[in-house]
Amino acid sequence: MSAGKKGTAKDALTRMLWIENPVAVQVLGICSALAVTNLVKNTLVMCAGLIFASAMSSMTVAFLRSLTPRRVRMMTQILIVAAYVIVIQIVLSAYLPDIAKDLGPYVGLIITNCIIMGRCEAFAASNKPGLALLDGLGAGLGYTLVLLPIAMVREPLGMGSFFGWPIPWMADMTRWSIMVVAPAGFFCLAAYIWIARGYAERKA
Amino acid sequence: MNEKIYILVFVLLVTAFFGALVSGLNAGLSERIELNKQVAEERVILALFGNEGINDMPAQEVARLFQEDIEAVTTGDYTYYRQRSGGSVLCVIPMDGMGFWDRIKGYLAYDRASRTLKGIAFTENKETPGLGGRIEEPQWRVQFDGLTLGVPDNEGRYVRVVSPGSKHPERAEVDAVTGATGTSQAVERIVNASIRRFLERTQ
Repeated sequence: MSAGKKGTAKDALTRMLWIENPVAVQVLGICSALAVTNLVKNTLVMCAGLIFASAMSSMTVAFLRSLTPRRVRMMTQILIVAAYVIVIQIVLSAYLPDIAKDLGPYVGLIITNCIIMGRCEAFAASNKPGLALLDGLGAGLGYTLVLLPIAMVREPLGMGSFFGWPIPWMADMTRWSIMVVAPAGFFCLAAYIWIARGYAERKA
Repeated sequence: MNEKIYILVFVLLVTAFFGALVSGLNAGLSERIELNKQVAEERVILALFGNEGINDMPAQEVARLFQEDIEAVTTGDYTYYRQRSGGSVLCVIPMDGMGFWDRIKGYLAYDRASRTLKGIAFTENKETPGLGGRIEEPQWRVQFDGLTLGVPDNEGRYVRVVSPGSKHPERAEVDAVTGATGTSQAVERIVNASIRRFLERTQ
């Protein structure tokens, strides 16, 4: 992993979309990948929240990097991440109350998402704010690229709907109850990693 | 020593800055958040009184309609709702209790004259989406409409939630949600407790 290495802006933004994907390759952020992927809408909002929190936290951590004493750097990072996540939570419940209600505790749990802390500690703490912002964005987008396809499989099979709208030709289908609960997230994620790595290996 | 003071000052400053950011935003938006919650609750109550299309109505309209038409009747610590325009027959009564995972709250519409339920709605539940969470779906909730309450059975139940597909059309019975026995039983308990409480409090 070239985590601490300095790179170009393009590299910072794109390397985690595929080659170093935080979920599929680094296997981080699994807990939320299991919890929110049974509905496409919730997944999308969760991913948007994560992209925002990850990008802004990375930038802020990078901005404060030379001022932050080494001994309290983790505490500072958590504080920054938590502040941005609470901002998301407050804004959601003020302007999108329905989605905020659907997501319940998940938004708050972005704080504990290991991807954000991981990027802050591994990259933002030793790079310039601009690069760190791109790195955070890339990590969030990489997370989205894994979660969205999984949600697109789980919601139709588990609920017979897509983005909350019932799929007409699936109305009479027996619903796969397991697709709704967390274990299905394990199976789908594992299948995704298997296919993605198999494809990457064949290409190499 | 110097370093320790620097750490202390740094931590205090960073905490103060982000604390102020978050609490400032919260103070600025808390009124709006409270209003959202209140309107969501009012929408549910109005819908139970038979106001159709209430979910597409703007928030201010909802608040105005609620103010004009709904009367809260409070005795002690108990509150239920009546319609100013519709007389005192149809009541919307609160439900509250422990679900399978967490608290479930909602309202029941109850017609006192014919002793029938006219609808059920949930305002708060954290049941598994797609399993227990399906209690929120209209197709499930519609089963409560028109149930006539008889004499409670020996466990004190007016309404019974039975295994899917086995409800008797003549009795006050509702099919459970498949794969969510825990939630279904909890809803049965909560509904019956709510009816009992209303009957006790309004005698």
